This record gives sequence, structure tokens and C-alpha cells, in this order.
Amino acid sequence: MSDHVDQSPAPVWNRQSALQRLMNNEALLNRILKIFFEQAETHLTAIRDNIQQGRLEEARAAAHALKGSAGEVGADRMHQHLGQLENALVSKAAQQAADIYKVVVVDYQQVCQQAK
Amino acid sequence: MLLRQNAEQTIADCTVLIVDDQPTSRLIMTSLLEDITHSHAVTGANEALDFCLAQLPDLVVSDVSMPEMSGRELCQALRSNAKTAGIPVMFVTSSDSDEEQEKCWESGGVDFVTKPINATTFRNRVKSQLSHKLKADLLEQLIYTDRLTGAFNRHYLDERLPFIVKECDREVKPLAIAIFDIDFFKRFNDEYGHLAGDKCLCRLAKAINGAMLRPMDQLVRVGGEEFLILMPNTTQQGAVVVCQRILETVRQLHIPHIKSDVGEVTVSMGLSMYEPGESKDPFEVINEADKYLYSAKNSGRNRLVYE
Repeated sequence: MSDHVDQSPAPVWNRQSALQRLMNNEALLNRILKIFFEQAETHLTAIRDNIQQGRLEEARAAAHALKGSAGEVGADRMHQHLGQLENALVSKAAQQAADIYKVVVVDYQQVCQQAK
Repeated sequence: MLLRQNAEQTIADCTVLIVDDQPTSRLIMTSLLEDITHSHAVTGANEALDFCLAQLPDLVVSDVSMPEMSGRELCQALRSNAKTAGIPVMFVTSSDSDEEQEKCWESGGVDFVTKPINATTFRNRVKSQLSHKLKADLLEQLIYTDRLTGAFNRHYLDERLPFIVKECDREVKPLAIAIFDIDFFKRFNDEYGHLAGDKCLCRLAKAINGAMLRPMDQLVRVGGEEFLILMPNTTQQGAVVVCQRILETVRQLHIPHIKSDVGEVTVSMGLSMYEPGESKDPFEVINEADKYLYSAKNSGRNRLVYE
């Protein structure tokens, strides 16, 4: 059973657990969501451009930064995939990174639909 | 006095420095500490170093992966400077690898919290670090302070003087050391009793501490009625001004002493200089100052003698 749970993808947006981590401070969650949405596209663009131009360390730094705030707002699936993207970039697997990047973009669009 | 102030200090009086390049993380951490203590947030390690040198926060909470300089490098830089070496650093990071954790501990961190932050855990970890810091500070103060006068003690001198000298060498600034004692203090004790002698020492130390206007100047009680004044970054000319002010401060106390030449408590003082890069033993400088003190005694007391 636990195997099955581990393999299932994380929820797109886990508002409940994000709130719980912030001691149910909704105002605080809304403020960090606002900052997250303001910055996400800049980070995504930086990841894409840097991968395309072979600057994998720069791409990794951008992925790491976005992963941090995705985790904070409860964008769990995006957080999970950004972690995989970061690892791919650390191992210099550019093609794999480019593939995961596409998944992250889909995750982000879903977060927008649910949380914006 | 020094001791009282520190004993009354609580977590609410502390300052926590938050270092994170991500605005969401800064906002979360600042908000979570709002009702616990003072906090200040900066966006990078260089800014953090400047803040630490100027403000000496009680705790640094730092992200690990940051552009320009990592949190681990920040921690190492703080450790390597005597001024900031006592500031604990707690890491907050979304990197969960074992290797990363090892590196954080190696760099000298005191705790490690993973992102996304759990508010309750984060708040309690910060509280625990601050309460530990307050206890350590109080203990240090007790170890280094003379209970009677509130001045620093001999132990402080032996431990800290080498570091103070190192600092002067590094900043290429002279260190002035003055030594003084109370004239005819044995006669004072014989005449008025030891309790009055203690009270006299206390009043003197308090008045002199008040007359030393710069925070880096330090009064040390090295023996019964013998005190040192350490004046880092001070030329001889500047030190003479401070010493004369102290002699005058003691005169203005007008403590009666019928067995002295002038009928009131006075002090005699010797002053010597440590020049940067001289690689002289600082305790040698104290001996020199002591010789000048001896000449002050022989040339009528109630005065300062220097080279």
C-alpha cells in the first residue's frame, strides 16, 4: 500500500497542508501566493533559456529557487518535479532536464487554474 | 550594571537575522518570528556579513543555496572573525541530500531546518537557539566580570588580550594600555575598614566606566586596587586625553581619605602603547605601563606618566 502511495504523483495544489505549515495563517498564504505568481514565469523562462543555451548551473539555480517557493505555497507536484529537474541539471543531463521542464510548465498551468 | 542588564534580557529582546534570496521565504520567516523576537531580513550573504559586524545579532537564519555566496560560506566567514564567531547560524534549505546536510554541519551551523518550513518546528527551533544563546552570553559575562566592581576581570584579560592585539594588527591600529591604582589604598582600608574599601572600589569603577565614552574601551580589574584600561584603535595622544579625564573623574568624586597627601582618594596611572605589527608580547606592554605607574607613584602620585 505504501508503495502505491509513494508512486502516485503529489497533488497539484495542497492548500490544506500549506496552510497547516503556516499555522493556518490565510493572509500569509495569500501573500506568498501573490509573490509566487509574480515570480514564477521569470524563473520558468530562465530555466528554459539556460537549458537551451547549455548554462546548466544557471538553470539549476533558477530551478532551485522556484522549487523553494513552490513548496512554500503548497504546489506539491510542481515542487516534486522541480526537485527532479534540479537533480537532472546537477548530473548535466540536458535532454532529460528539457523533458522534465515541459512537465513543470504543465504543473504550473494547473496551479494557476486552481490557485490564482 | 552589566550583570543585571543581561540577566533580565529575554528572547523578545534578541535580534534574528534572516538571510534568503527568495522573497517568499523571507516573508514567511519574518512573519513567523514577528510575535517572538526582533528580526531583520537581507537578500544575500555579503549584506548579512555587514549587518553582523555592525549589529551582532543573536542568531542568523540562513538559506544555503544563494547566488554570489552560499550560506555555508557565510557561516565560515562569521566563524573566522573573532567579532562574529559567537553568533550561531541555523540553516534553512530545500536541499534534502545527505551530502548537503553534512556540509552544513561541517561549516559550523548549529541547526538545520528543511523547506518548506513547518511554522511550529521553525518557531520552536529559533526559540531554543535564542534561549541557549542568552544562557551562553550570561555565563560568559559571569566568567569575565568582577562581581564587586562590574569591571572585567583578570580571566577576561588573559583570554581576550591576545585577540584584541590580533585585531589591532589586522586593522593596523595602535592599542593603548593604561594601568592605575588607588593611592595609599592600604592606609584607606586600615583607616576606614575593608567594607568602605570595597565601596570605594565600586564607586571608582562605576564613575570611570561612565567616563570612558567609547564602547571599545574596557576597564579591567587585575588585582585588589589595580585596574587596566584597554583602548583599541587609540593613539597615544588620544589615550592621554582619556587618562586625564579619568584622573579628573576620580578627583571629582571627593572621597575623603585623611591618610593621603591630599585628603581625598586619588589614583596614579602609567600609559604604554602597542603599535600594530610590532609582534611584541602584549603583557610586555602592560609591564611597561606598570613601570610608568611606578614613576607616577615616585613623582608625587595623583598623576599620569607615559613615555
